[in-house]
Amino acid sequence: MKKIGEQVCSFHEEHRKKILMMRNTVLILLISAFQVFANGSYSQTAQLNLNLKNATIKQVLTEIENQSEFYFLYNSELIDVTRKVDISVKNEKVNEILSRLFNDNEVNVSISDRHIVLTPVTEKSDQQQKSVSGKVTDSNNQPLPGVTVLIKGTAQGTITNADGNYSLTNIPENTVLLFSFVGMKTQVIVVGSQKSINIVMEEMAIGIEEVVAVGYGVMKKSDITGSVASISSLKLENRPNVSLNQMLQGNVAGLNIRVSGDDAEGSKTSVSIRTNNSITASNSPLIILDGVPFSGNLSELNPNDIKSIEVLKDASSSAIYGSRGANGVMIISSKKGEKGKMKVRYSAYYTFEQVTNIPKMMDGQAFAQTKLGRGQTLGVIEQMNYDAGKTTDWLKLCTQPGHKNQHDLSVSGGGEKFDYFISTSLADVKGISKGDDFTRVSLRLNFNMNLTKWLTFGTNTLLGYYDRSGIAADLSEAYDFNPLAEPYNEDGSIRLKSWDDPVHGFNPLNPTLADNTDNQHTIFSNTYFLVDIPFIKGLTYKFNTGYTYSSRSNNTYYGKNTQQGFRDNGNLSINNAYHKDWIIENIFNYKKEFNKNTLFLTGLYSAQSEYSESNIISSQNFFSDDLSYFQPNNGLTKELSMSSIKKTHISQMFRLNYSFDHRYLFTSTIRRDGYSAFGKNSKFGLFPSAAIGWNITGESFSEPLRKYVNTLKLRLSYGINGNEAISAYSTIAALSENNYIDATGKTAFGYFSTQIKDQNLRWEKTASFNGGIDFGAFSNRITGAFDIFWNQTSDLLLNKTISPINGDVSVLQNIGATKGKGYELEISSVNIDKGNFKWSTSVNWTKYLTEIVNVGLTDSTGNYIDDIASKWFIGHPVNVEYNYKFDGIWQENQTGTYMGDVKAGDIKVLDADGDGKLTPLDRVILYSDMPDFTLGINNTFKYKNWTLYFFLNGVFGIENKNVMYEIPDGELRVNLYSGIHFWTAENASNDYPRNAARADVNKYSVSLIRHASFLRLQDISLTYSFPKKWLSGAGIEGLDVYTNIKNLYTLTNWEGFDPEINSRPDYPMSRSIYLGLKLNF
Amino acid sequence: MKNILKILSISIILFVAISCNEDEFLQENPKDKVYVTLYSSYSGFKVGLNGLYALVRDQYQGYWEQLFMVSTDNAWVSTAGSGELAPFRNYSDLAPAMAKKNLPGSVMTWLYQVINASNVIISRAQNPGVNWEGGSDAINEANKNFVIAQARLLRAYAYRFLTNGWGDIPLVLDEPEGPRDDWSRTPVADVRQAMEEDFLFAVNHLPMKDVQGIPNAAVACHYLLELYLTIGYAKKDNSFYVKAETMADNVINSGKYSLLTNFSDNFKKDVNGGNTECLWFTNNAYSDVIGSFGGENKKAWHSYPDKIIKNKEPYTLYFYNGGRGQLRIAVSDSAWRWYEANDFRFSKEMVKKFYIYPKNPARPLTLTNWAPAEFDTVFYTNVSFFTNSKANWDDAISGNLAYSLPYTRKWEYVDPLVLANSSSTSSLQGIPSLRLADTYLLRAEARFRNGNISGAASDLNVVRKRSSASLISASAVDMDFILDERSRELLCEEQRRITLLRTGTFYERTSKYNPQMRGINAYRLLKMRPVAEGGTGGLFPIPQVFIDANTAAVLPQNPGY
Repeated sequence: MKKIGEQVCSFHEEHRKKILMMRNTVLILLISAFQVFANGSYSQTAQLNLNLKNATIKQVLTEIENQSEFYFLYNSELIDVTRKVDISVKNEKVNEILSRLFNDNEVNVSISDRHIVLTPVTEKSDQQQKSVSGKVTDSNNQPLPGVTVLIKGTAQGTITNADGNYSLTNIPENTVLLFSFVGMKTQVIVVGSQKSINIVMEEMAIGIEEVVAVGYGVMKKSDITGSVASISSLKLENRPNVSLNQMLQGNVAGLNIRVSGDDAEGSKTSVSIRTNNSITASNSPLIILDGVPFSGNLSELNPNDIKSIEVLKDASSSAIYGSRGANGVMIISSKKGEKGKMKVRYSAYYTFEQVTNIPKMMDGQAFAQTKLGRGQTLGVIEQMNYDAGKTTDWLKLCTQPGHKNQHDLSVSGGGEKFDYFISTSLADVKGISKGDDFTRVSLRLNFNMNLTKWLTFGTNTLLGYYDRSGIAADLSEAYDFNPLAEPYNEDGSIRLKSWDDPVHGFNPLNPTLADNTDNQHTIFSNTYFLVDIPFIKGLTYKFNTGYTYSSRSNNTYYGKNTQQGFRDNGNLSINNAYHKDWIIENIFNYKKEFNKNTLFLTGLYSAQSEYSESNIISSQNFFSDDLSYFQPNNGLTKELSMSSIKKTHISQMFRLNYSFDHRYLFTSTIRRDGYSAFGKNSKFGLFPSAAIGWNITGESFSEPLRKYVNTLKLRLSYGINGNEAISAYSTIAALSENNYIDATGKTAFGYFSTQIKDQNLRWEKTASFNGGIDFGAFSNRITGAFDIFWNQTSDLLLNKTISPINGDVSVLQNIGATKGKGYELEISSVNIDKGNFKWSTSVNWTKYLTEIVNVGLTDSTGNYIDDIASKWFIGHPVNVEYNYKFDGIWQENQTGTYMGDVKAGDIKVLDADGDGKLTPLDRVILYSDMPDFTLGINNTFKYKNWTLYFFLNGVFGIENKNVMYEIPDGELRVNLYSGIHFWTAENASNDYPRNAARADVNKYSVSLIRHASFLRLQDISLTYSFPKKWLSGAGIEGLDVYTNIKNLYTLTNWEGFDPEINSRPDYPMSRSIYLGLKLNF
Repeated sequence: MKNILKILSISIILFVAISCNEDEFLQENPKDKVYVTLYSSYSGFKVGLNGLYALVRDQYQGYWEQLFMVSTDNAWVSTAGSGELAPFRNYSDLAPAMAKKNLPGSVMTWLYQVINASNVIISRAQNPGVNWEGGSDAINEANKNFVIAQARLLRAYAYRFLTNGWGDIPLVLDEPEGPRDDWSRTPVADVRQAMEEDFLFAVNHLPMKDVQGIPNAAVACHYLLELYLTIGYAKKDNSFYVKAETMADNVINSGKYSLLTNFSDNFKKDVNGGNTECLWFTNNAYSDVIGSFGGENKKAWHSYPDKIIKNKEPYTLYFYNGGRGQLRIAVSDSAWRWYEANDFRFSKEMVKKFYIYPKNPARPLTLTNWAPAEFDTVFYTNVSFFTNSKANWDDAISGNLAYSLPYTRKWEYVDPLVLANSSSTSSLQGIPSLRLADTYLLRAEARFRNGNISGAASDLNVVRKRSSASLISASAVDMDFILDERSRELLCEEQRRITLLRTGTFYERTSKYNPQMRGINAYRLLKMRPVAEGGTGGLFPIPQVFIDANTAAVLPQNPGY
C-alpha cells in the first residue's frame, strides 16, 4: 500500500483535507503518516529502476514511493524538492540513488527500514553556539518520527528521526520552537537555557475535523448542516461504564436520560432527545447500531465495543430516518480494526456497590406509638416485637453490597486488504437487591475485506448471551414494610407471612425463594457488500443487510413458601419468546468534486420485516413443589396462550449534500416510508427536510478574526419527521374474548364486539426549525455549539375519548398538536495547559418547553378545550399533575367552613376559585415533569501520568409529589417516613396533618409536593498511566489503573429516595466504587 | 451531467428490480385474534352469545350490581374506604366529573357495551348469507330466532338498568358504524316501548326453560312483568297491571318451576343440582376452567373480621367463617328489624351473627366432619343496630364498628382447594340471578294493584311459609308490607333501588330507614328528593365523559347535579 509521506511544515488547509478525506473514504479511524513494519533490512535488498528527465526531486521521490514500499518524510521548506534533475538508474539501492540526488553537505539521509527521513545539514556550528535536542512522543509514549521542529520566525528547523529524536544546533538566543505534526496540536516551547526538551504531542482537540456518522454514510463535522452531537471513543473510554445509558447521562446537551433505579442490568433508564412531543406515543429515539435499527435494550451492548455515538437532534439530520426520526436518532458504531500490527487489549474492573439515598423510616417503637396514638391495636407479632423492643430494617434485609465484575479482551488489526476487531466480554453483576443478578457474555466479530479493487465485504456481528435468572426481593414493599414484623422462622428460613395482614403481611424477601431462569440469546448481525461502480468515479453501491434473532426463555416456579405459591398452591409460568428482524438496504452514494464544488448524493431503498412470537404456559395448583417449573401438566389450573406480531416497513430516501468551497453548505433530504400498522388509506408518508450551513471562518473578511477564532459556522435547518409509535394491528377491530361456562361446567368460548377503529390512522408529524452555531477559538482551546429550536407536532396519536354510547370508550386517532422550543449550549475548553498540567472542562446546558396546542376536543363554539380526564391542558406541558392543592392545616375545630365541618389537624384544601366551596373546579395544575434547565459539567485534570475526572449532573427547577409524605391509611399497615411530624395541639404546624386515617384528614386526596432539583457528583475517576519505560521490558505498550466512584454525593432538598425516583422504586439508587485496569499489548 | 444521467438510469433500473409489491408487503394479517366474520354461521353466533352471557355476568364484579342496591332503605355504605361506592355515603361526592370514583360511569359504559354487542348480533343475524345449520327452513328459522331472541332479551335487560338508573337515555338499536358524537336522550317511555318489544320477542321465541345458564322465556316474562308494573305506576294506567299479572301466571303456572323447601338451598344448589326455583342461573366454575369468573358479592357484603380478631390466624378464620369480604355495603338496621324472630331468613344459618374458630387449629382444614363442640365462638357481631342510638353514623363507622356488623350468608364462599384463597375476596360459585320467589312477590304486587288483596296475601304467604314466618291476612297487605317482604326475601339479591324507584317510594323509604340519611345531613336528603322538590329523583348523574365526548350535540345532565 502506498502512502503519501509528505510532511509539510506549515500545513496548508488543502493538504490536510486531502488526507482527512481519504481517511473518511476508506473508513479508517486513524491513518498516521508512519507505519511500523516488523521486517528489517528492506533498504538493503530493495532495488529500483528509474528513468526520469527534467523531473523535480519531488517527482523522483514520488516515483520511488510508487515502485517500492519506501516512503519519505521531509520538510519542503527546508529541503529543495523543486530542483529539476535527470536520473537514469538500474537495479540500484535507494541510498545510492539518494546520494545521486542530494549533495551530502546539504541533506542528511537517514534510512530506517522503509522509512526515510531527509533533513537539511546544518552548518558546522562553532562551539559557542547553543544547541538543543530531545525526543518527541505521542500521548502513549510512542516515538513520533517526522515531527517538524521549526525555529519560530525562520525557515530553519528539522524533522524527528525514526526514534522520534531530534537535535538542533546553532540556534539563536531566545529561540522559540514549534513542534507540529498532522492530526496533532502544534506545541510552542521557549527554549531558554534548556539543552534537552522532550515533547509529548497531543492529538488535536476533538471537534472541528471530526468525522461523524450521519446515517447511511459519514461526513466531516465541519460540513454538517444539522444539529449532531458526537461522543467519540476517547470520551467513552475515559470512564468505566457497565451500561451505555450511564455513559451518556448528562454528557450530551439535549439527550435526556432518566434513571428510575439501579438494577443489576442497568436497564432502568429511559432515553429521550430534546422535548417530549408525543402525548401517548413513545418518545424514545430510534437507535441505529452499525447501520441497522436496534430494538433491544442498550444494556445488551458491551460499552467497550462502542467506537462512537452520534445523536441526531434536529429535523434535518434525523429526517433521513423519516417516519421514525421524530424523536431523534442515536447512531451507535462499534469499533473496527485498524490496519497495522495486531493490538491486544485487556480491561477489567471490579465494583463495590451499596444502596444510597435511602429514606430513614420509623423504627418499631415509633411506628407502634403512631399506631397506638390513633387508637389502633397491635397484632400478636407486632405486640411481641414491640414489647421486646425489636425493630427490623427491611430495606437493609432486602439489599446487599453489590458487585460488578467485567472482563474484556479484544484483538484488532488488519492487513493490506482487510481489518478486524474481535472482542469478547464477560460481565457478571450481583445487584444491590437480593436476588437481582445479571450476566452478559458477548462476542463481537467485526471484519472488513477488499475482495477485489471494486468490491468490499464487511460484517459487524454480535453474539450475546444474557442471563437474568433469579427474582429480586420486593423492594417496593420493603421500604415501608412493618418494622415490627418478623423476617425469619425459628430455623432461620424466610418466613412466608411476616405479620397478620393479608395484603401487606407477605415477607418482601420471599420472591427470592422462587425458582427462575431467564436466558436470552441474541444474534445481531450487519453484513454488507460495497461496490465501487467501476465506470463512474465516485459512485458506490452498498448492499446492506441486517438480521437480528433473539430468543428468551423465562421460566418461573413460585413454591408454596412464596406469596404467589401460597395463594395458588404453586404457581408456574413458562414464557418462550423470540423475535426476528431482517432489513435489506440498497444504498447509492455519489460523490463528485469539481473546482470548489462538492456534491454528495445518497439514495436508499429498503425493506424491513419484524416478527415476534411468544408462547406462554401458566399453571397453578400443584401436588408438590419438587418438580419446579418442569411440571406444567401437573397443575390443576392451566392456561396456554400464544401471540404473534408482524410489522413491515418500506422506505425510499434521497439526500443531496452540496458545498461550495466548504464555506456554503446545503443539505436536503426526502424520505417516503410505508408502515404496515397504519390504516389502509394511509400506509405511506413523505418526510422532507432542508438545511444550510455557512462556515464564516472560510470567508476572506473573517481573516483578521482567525487569529482568535478558528471555527465559526452557522446552521439553519427545517424538516418534517414522523413518529410511527403505534403497535401492529391498531386499525383492525377484533372481537373481545369473554368466555362463559356451559351447563355442564365446561368452557363455553365467547367473543363479543366492542372495538371501533380508525382506518385513516397515520404518522404523528413533527415539523421543526433549528438554528445553530458551532465555534472554536484560540486554536480550538474553546469549542462549542449553541442550538435553538422550535417544533410543532401535529396529527398526534391520541386515544380520543368517544361517547361510551358507541360501545367503546376511545379510539386511536390522529388529532391534536403540541409545540416545543428550547435551546442547548455545549462548551468545551482547555483552561490550563502548562507543562505537565492540563485542565479541561466541558459544560452542557439545556432548557426546553413543550406545550399542548390542542387535543382534538372542542366546545360547542369550536374552541379547543382541555381534556381534563386525561390531564391534558392547552398551553401546558404534556405530563402535568392536576389535583386539589394542599393549603396547610386547619388549626382549630370549625363548623360550616367551605370544607364542611373540620377538625383541627385536618388538611386544608385550597379553594382555588374562591367561591366559598370546594368543587372539581378547585383542582389546579400542580407541577409538570419539565425542569427549568438541566446542566452537565465535566472536568478533567491531567498531571504527568495522573488523570482526574469528575462529572456533575444537575436538574433544576422541578417539583414532584413526594411519596414519603403520603398520608397514611387508617390502619397503618405500612411504615412511615421518620421525617413525618404529625400535627398535634401542642406542636401545631402547617405542614402535616394529625395522626389519623387518610380518609378523615385528607378527604380530597391531596399530595404533598416538594422541590426535586438536584446537583449530583455523578462520577469521579482517577487514572494512573504507567510510564512506558517501566513496561517496555514486559512487552506491554500501556497500562492504566483507575478508580471511579459513581453517585458519590447529591446536593438536594428532596427527602426520601433519590430526587430522580418519584415513586416506590423497585430498585433504589446505588453508590459504586470501581477499581479497574486497562492493558494494551 | 452524463454521469448523473447514468446514475439516474442505473438507479431506476435497480430500484425497479429490487422493489417488491408494496401493498402486499405492508398488508396486515393478524393470526391470533377473532373478527366479526365469526357471525356467519349458527355455531359462530353461539360463540357470540357466550361472549354476551359472559359480558352480562360482569354485573357481579366491581360493585356494578351493587350500584342498584346501595343507598336505599336496606343497604348503606358502611366504610369510608368503600372505593367506588364511597360517593353514596355523601351525595356531594357524587359529582359527574369525578371520573375516578364514578361507579355510574363504569356501569353505564358496560351497559352500552352489552347493548352494542347485542345490536351487532341482532343485525348480523338478518344477513341472508348466514348458515343456520338447521337442515330445514323451519329449524333454520328457529335457530335464527333463538339467536335474535337471546340478544334482544339481554339488550332489554341492559335498558332496564339504564332507564331506572338514568331516566331518559339514548336509545341505540342498530350496529354502530363509527363513533357518533351527536347522541340525544330518548324519552324513557319510548325506551320502555322498545324494551317491551324485545321482551315479547323473547317470550315468543324462547322455551320456558332451557339448559342451565341460558336465558329463557321465564326470564323474559319476569322482566316484562316488572316492566308492566313500572309502566303502570308511571302512567297510572291499571291495564298494565293486568298484563303484568298474566306474565307472572305464565311463569308460575308453567309447571317448570317450583319453590325449594329449604330457603338456603337457593344458594347452595344450581339448576342441574335440583334448584327448581331458579329462573335464571349465572354459570360459573372453579378457576381451573377457562371461562370461570371471580364474582364479588362476598367482597361487597361480607365483613372483614381480621380487623377485630388479630390474635387468630386469618386464613383459618376466613375458612370457617364463609370467606373474607370487605364490607363495602352493610344491611341497614331497619332491614334486620323487619324480620320476625323465628323467620328462617334471619336465623344464624342465613345471617352472620358470630365468628367461630377451631379449638385445635392444627387439625387439617375441612368444612365437614367437624362437631360444633370443636369450635369456640370468638366474636359476636356488633349489635348496635338494635339500640339505634348512634347519632352520627359517619363517625361510628370510622372505627372498628364498621367491620363488626352482621351480614348475609347468601354469598359465602371458600376455595375448596387452596387455603390461602380463603383470603381472596372473589367467589367462583354460580349465582341464582332470578328466583321464582321474586315472581311470586311481583305477582303479589300486581294483584294488589289490581285490587285482588287476598290473592296478594296468598302469594306473599307462599314465600313466607317456606321460611316459617307467620302467615298474614289480607288486611295486613299494603305496598309497604310488600316492599318489606321483598327485602326480607331478596335481601342482597334484589336491585332494591329499581324497586323503590318504580314504586315511587325511594325518597320516603330511604330517608326513613337508611342510617346515613336519617336526619343528619340536609344536603344528602335534598339529593334523594324527587325532582319536583329540587332533588335528583334518585337518578344517577350522567357521567361527565358522556356529555364531554358528545361534542356535536348537547346531552343534558340529570336534574340535581
